[in-house]
Formats: sequence, structure tokens, C-alpha cells
Amino acid sequence: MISNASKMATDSPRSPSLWVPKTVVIRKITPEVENVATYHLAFTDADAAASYRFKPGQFNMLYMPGVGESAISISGDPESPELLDHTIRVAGNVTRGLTQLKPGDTLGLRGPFGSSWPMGQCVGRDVLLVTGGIGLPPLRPAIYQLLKRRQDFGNLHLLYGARSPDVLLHQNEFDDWKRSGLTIQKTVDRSVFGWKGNVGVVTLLLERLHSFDPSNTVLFCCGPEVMMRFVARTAFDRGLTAEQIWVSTERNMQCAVGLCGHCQLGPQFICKDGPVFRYDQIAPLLTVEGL
Amino acid sequence: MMAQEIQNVLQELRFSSGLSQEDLQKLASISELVEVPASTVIFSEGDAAADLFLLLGGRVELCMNVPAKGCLPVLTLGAGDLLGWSPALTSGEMTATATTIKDTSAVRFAADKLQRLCEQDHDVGYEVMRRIAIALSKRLVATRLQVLDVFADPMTEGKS
Repeated sequence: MISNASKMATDSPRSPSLWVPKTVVIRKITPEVENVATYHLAFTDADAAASYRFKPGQFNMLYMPGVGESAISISGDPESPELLDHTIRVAGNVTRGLTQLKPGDTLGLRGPFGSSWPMGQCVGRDVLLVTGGIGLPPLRPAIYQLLKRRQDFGNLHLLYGARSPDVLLHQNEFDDWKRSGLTIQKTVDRSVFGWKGNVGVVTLLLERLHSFDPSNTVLFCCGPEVMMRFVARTAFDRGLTAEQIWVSTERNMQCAVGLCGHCQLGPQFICKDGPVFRYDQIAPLLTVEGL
Repeated sequence: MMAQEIQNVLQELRFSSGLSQEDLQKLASISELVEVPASTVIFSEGDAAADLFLLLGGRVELCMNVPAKGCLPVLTLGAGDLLGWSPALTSGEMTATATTIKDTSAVRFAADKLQRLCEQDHDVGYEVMRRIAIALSKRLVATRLQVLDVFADPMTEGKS
């Protein structure tokens, strides 16, 4: 069992605190790219706000009365939990319903749930963040933490792939991140005229990457599962082992406490054992058809 | 002096690292170091296959002509990548247009000399072809991932 599970996820699933949503208000909505926006949420109850803490990689359940609940990764700064960022892509009823809301409207929120990126393992080591598409927001809290304690880590690289240049997320922060010591390389699957950046899948960036020591590196990966499998394969070619690779997985989360089984992947419940797993703990399950 | 310099460079490149000094020497003897400024067309789709390159630095864009759309970029290559595999395998035409996006440095092999070396010395020929096959297999996998369109919008909600 991984050691980075949240306290909440290890509480009894019968604990009322896990099931009763707290009210949050939408303070601001930042449009990112088409069909993606960041919702900045704040608790209406002062006690709830004061006690709420999350770790990079964890998620909340956002509840729209009359519509349903959806698991959304927290994409903001863990050290500024007074405003909880959730970067959301429209993908179903709840996320579509969220597009109808405006600042000042309220939602229900349960969480935080799940395991987190093992930030402690990054100390003194090079860190590779490899992501694609909507996989960047779940890594964003880790980026904030890494850059706030930049001196504690070796080389920091973000390798980011997207479908096309117009859907690259959080680009307005890239200059700040670079100034703070993060090397960023972007690539797109489909180019457009005028794009002078990389074209090709993100694994190619990893294949070409210099300035990291494979024996002293941690790799965090978040994106479509097939992408993560091939990122891991490329990482193995570059000399990393499965114990140095962590991935964030995705399934249909419903209860978020490991009871309903909707997110079950073999023996693992993604909602409480994950979503962040060390690669060797989950790799065999990722190639099983139908899981 | 130049051959020794190229041999040292080849030793560091992932394509050719691990080759024996003897094999590196043979490859160095039929190659040259080239510097290509940004925005230079190295070869065009349909050109007769002539040279093969191992990139040392910079960036090269490969594009393919699509009627009414122009030359669409399909891949960019960087340090350590193989550029222009067609000449090593066939004597036909180049399958894409290669243009430097940044100032680029490379080791250039004349394809006819490389093919002759591989024919005359099957040991080095096997190693070169095996490494080309590995490079192409990685590019094939990367192309499959592009074709899968893994970043397309999801059909259902899971965890975003």
C-alpha cells in the first residue's frame, strides 16, 4: 500500500464528514481554453475554511443539487486553500451544468479525497513532470510546492503535450514558472500554421531530454492512460525504474470513499487507494482490457 | 582531425553510442559536421533521397504537402534524432519536407556511401540498420499515439 493516502481517505467511510457536502461559493471563473475553465471556490462556513487542507494530487467531489456529483482534481496552491481552484473540462452532466453557473452561485463540496504526489521523495532529486491535455491541472499544486522550495530540488522539468496549440492550459503562468526555475517544453499532436514549437507526442520530449540524472530522478505523470504507459516505457529506456515513476489515474468516481466500486481497478479503488499510484503498483492493471 | 571530432560526437549521440571505436571510425570517415541556419529547407518532399542526418542540436520541422492546405507539420526533431531515414533504406524519394526552425547542427552521411559501407561491412551494417529500425519503431509508436488522438474530449465524467 502506498503511504501517501490522505487522512480523510483512511477515515471510516461511514463517517458523516465524508458524505455531507459543505457549501462553497464560486468567487471567480477563469476561462482557460474552449470547454475548460478554472473555478475558484471558497467555503461559506469559516470553520470549514479554517480546517480544510489538501495535498497536491488530491481531488474533491463537487455537487450540483439536482444534477449530481463529479470528482475534480484540485488545481490550486495547497498553501492558499482559502481559494480552491478546480480546472474543469466539460465532459458530462455535472461539468456541463457548471458552465451555467456564475460567480456568487454555490455548490456542494466533499473532500479532499485520495492519495497525493509524494513530494517528500523529490527532495534532493531531479523531478520530471510529464503530462498531457487536462493532466496538467492535477500537477499544478505540485508545481507550486516545488517552486516555493526550489532550492530543495535538483533540475525541474515540465514536459507538456496537448492536442493542438490552442488547448495548452495555464500558459499565462509559464513565464513565472520558468523564472522560478522550472524548465518547460511543450509539444502538440496537431500543428497549425504559425506554430513554431514542437510537434509530436510528449514521449519524444522525454526521449530527447538532457540535464537530469536517471538514477536520482522522480517522475510524476498525469494524462490519458495510454500516454502514461508509453511515458513509463520511455522512462525505462532512459534508465528510470518503476519505483521512480508515479501516475495519476482516472476512473468513474462516485462515492469517493471506496464503497461503491465504480472506480475499482482490479484490487484498487482509484478514489481511496489512488488516484496517485507508484507505477509498479498499478502497471499490470493498465493493460488489462475491460478494466 | 575532423574525422576524430566526428567520432567523438558520434560516441555521445544516443543513435551511435555503444558502437565500437572501429565502427565509429568507419562511420566518421564517411560523414561531415554541418551547421544549418534557421529557416533553411534541408530537403523537400519528392526530392531524390541523398543524405541522412543525426541531429546534434537545434530543431527541424517535418511537414507533408496536403492539397489546398499546404505543407502541414507532422513532427519536429531535435538533438539526438535521426533525420532522413529514407536514403538509408531506399534510393527513392524523400517522404517529407525538412526545414530548420532553429539554427541546427548535425552529422551528415552521404546515403550512397553509407549504403556501400553497410554492404561491404555487414557487422557495421547490422548495427546501423538495427539502430535505424529502433529509431523508426519509436517513431511508429509515437505516430500511433498521435493517430489515437488520446487528448480528444472524453465521453464521460471521471476525474478531470
